Amino acid sequence: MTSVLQKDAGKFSLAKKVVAQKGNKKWRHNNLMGYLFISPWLIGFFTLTLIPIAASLVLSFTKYDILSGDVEWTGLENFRRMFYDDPRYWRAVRATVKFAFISVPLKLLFALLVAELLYNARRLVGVYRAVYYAPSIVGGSIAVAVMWRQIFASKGLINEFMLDAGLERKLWLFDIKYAIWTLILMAVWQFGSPMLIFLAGLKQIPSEYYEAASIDGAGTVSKFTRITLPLLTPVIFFNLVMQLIFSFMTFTQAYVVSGGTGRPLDTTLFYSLYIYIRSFGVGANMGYGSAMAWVMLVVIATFTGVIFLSSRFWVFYDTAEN
Amino acid sequence: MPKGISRRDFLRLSAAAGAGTVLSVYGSPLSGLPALAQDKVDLRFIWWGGQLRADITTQVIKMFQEKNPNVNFTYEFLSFEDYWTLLTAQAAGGGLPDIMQHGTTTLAEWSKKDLLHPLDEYIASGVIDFTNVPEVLQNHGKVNDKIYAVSAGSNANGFVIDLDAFEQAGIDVPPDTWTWGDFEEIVTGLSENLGIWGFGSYLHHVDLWRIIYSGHGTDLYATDGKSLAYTDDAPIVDHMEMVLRLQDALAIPHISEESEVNTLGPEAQFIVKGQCAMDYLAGSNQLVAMWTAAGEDRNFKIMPVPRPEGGRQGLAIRPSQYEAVTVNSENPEMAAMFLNFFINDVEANKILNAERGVPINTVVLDALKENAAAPQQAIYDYLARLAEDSAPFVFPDPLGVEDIRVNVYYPEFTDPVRYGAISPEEGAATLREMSNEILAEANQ
Amino acid sequence: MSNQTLARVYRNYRKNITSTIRSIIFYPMHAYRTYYHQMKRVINNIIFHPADAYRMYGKHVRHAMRGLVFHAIVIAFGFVMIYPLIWMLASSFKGESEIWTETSSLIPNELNLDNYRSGWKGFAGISFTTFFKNSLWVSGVSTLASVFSSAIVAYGFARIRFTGKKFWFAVMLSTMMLPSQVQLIPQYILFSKLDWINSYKPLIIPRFFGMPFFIFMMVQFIRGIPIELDEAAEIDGCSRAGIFFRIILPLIKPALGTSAIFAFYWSWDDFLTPLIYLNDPRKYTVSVALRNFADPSSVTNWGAVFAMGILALVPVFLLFILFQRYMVEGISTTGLKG
Repeated sequence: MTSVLQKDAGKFSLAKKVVAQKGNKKWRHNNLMGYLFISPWLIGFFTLTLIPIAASLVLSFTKYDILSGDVEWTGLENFRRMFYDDPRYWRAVRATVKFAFISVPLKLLFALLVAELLYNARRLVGVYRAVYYAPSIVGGSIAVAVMWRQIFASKGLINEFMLDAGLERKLWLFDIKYAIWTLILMAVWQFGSPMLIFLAGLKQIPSEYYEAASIDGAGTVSKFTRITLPLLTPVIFFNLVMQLIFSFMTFTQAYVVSGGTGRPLDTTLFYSLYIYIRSFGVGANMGYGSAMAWVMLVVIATFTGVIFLSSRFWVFYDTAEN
Repeated sequence: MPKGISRRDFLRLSAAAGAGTVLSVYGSPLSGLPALAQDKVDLRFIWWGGQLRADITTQVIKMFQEKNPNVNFTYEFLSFEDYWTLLTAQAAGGGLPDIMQHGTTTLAEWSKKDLLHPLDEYIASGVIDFTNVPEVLQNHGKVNDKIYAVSAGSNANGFVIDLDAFEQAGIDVPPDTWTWGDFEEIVTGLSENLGIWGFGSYLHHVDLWRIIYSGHGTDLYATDGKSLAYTDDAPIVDHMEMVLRLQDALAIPHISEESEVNTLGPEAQFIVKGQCAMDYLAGSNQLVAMWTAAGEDRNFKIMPVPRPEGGRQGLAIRPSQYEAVTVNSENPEMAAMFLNFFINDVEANKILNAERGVPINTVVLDALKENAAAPQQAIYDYLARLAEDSAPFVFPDPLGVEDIRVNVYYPEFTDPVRYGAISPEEGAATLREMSNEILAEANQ
Repeated sequence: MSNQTLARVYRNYRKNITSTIRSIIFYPMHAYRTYYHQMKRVINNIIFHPADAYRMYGKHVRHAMRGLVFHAIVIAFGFVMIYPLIWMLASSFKGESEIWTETSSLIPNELNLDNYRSGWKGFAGISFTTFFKNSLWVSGVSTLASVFSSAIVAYGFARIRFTGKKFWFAVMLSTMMLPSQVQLIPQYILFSKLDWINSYKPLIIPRFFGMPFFIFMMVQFIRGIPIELDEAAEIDGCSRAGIFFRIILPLIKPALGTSAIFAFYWSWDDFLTPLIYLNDPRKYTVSVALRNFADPSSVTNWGAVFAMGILALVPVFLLFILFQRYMVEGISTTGLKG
């Protein structure tokens, strides 16, 4: 089974050479069809997306006052200030990186395990799937934030358990040590979206593979590691990239739980939250916010690029392109 | 200020260039038709606030519409944060409503940046009738010699005290001239006698910074706005040391405990729940919501913030918020008429009932005082007492003040000090240095 | 049924359950006697004919045990997962004081529908009927538009080799990496130039151009489909469009279903865009209305907030149930050779 997959992966690198030898006519036709198919996105990009993005890039080299509209070219000043002269900036970086690097692997692990578990379940699958997805659809609503605060509040549910267990109650949400963990927990709790995508991916694996493996006498574990995991790598790859991007951009949770302040001691001051504070407050300089945003874009793009580069070593597509 | 591209045009130009592209894709939209009938006037009003404010304000809007049937009124109300996100976007896109609500810092900035319509012509022509408004209060909305807004009501910071708790603790209600020394003694006594906190949250509130220095006889900011007015950190260091003493003695909640409450509404406040005997009031008008949440059987009184030993009253009477007409209004005169109705109409104010602060029109105020409920009575009483020796209301603030409040005062000074990460001296020095830097840069 | 009747039925029901549980706890002997005969036979078998019993019950027991353990784990974990939702549901039936005094109780003292009634009235004379209509319209159109357009674009990226493909794909991914906070203002200016303010256009039209998240996801799924299928169809004389509609679309149903669920939810839940672009409360969507309802800085009718919050989840949940069907029938049930 794996040997087939490896052969396919090999075919992928051959694809380029094959294509280069194809006729000119076919090549032109492919170009036309390619651009035709991606044209919806291209048109949207040039008309609606590009302008705000380009504007924010230009603004990152300026001091831009939204209210007066004054734009003053400052060159690299925003970046200098960010790296050398803004203590809050580095706290925001630290909080975000910690959050992303802990919550993403945990979330994906949970999502994959539960997806696999539910995939194999015979009865009540629909119900379970709904139950596990439910936390993700209540995501940003105020009511959930209130509830979350209730659970971790000084006289909340967790503390009731702590007292019952003979432990001291803790102020989870505003304790320097624990605050970020409540947010990580909340993120992991909402593993529903990657789980659904994993489930869809599992459904796409042809059952013949499993049947063949069963005939070869493979057990549950080896089926999982030899068939499920390799064939699921495109989806794992997708989830990894997307969750990383999303976690770097996390805003609502931090905003709601700390009231948008990053308390305690900026340990929950997520990058996006800080961009927001810097861009929108009275007398704020959106140029500075834009500069921060572009630094973030470069950092995420680098991470994504690394994952993409590494993907040829661990992501298996069932076939190469022709 | 070094000159860049002309005012507010840079982004608009680039957006227009983009819009051109898009229009050629979609075909141009219908050009705005001229108003068919002159008699129908659109007015849009946005404010921040909760349900109570929304209910009473919409009632007043209805009253105004009944008197002016040609006005087509639309309105929105939002939470404070959403409000400013939305209004900032609308300012950038030139789509501000006719009438908007402002705070003191924002009013100064927005009028300096020409986003608000000066009201002087309407005051001169009598559309806005200031006959019964004391001159001091008229000028509360004055920036660079023009009046840009009317005060929606007068306000002052203060401490709210639970009279029953004081009685139970056997502690006398102090006189208005009490000092910080008296305060510390009373807080300690209350917490020892009652087993609850003597004082609730925000004993490090950013407004206290100014009030403390003002009590020592100096304003917080230098007159040219380029720096702080003080070089001696002692007053604020002393204050924070007291806060730490009280926090260590468990006479006030720990910072992590109070942070939890500070982001919640009135119903969650310590004093409302009876968990402390005294609490901070960022504005006297908030007593209405607090008392409503606590229940009518409670007894509250507002006290002025204590003064330094041998110092003066540091509190100023200021507007709780303003109502202003924006430059995007197509009917500024009608908008001004509404403002006039809002501050001068007795019936309308009976509904508004000082929820936005004490009415600035003396005739209206007298009418409201006649049968005021307990919370309103307490507020009227407090402002009347305070008026006798309050500090002057300094307005407008220099630019950069909000930056200092959000990005320096709490995250670099009070929070690390109260969490014990740095000493009050270190924190106060950082606060002074960073503030001076920001002020110097913002007010070149 | 009138409200009082409902409440009475509910009270009786609660009483019944309580008494049943109480009898099991306090009168175990009674329960034992009821099942005595059946149990005696089983126990006799086990004691006196263990080998037979093992042959008879062993397989069932082991199987049942495994199923039981599985379901027990999934249910217990699932309960933790939806505890907050149950809490919200319970709170939506509680009176204002009960919400905060009996926070951790999941069963309200009585089935109080007042929160729903008062919540539905909405504010400023506009009821939630309007908000729901608006939201359904906006989210419905956006969902259809974004899923369909994304599928087309995804096919282009996944299956056709053309100059600049990698470049455009990278550009598309990067558009997701710029925080929306800094795009907000330029976008607002752009949309106001287009005269889109106070209309649903900013909420709907961008969705017709595909969404990078879905495009990327579908690309990954399409690349998982054996290319031989395309080739076979091509040999049979099928055009690109034909391959897309007849081969690819049916095969990525799980991805389409998932996308539809996400697209609907994101559009339904998004509150910032409608807040910024809609100036007239009559045009508000449910998310904005809810947010207005729940301003944490003032005394709020929390019961009504929770009640409307629960109702707001209903369409999302229904759509989820509707579309998860497509996730069940994957390639595995269509019997294709890999």
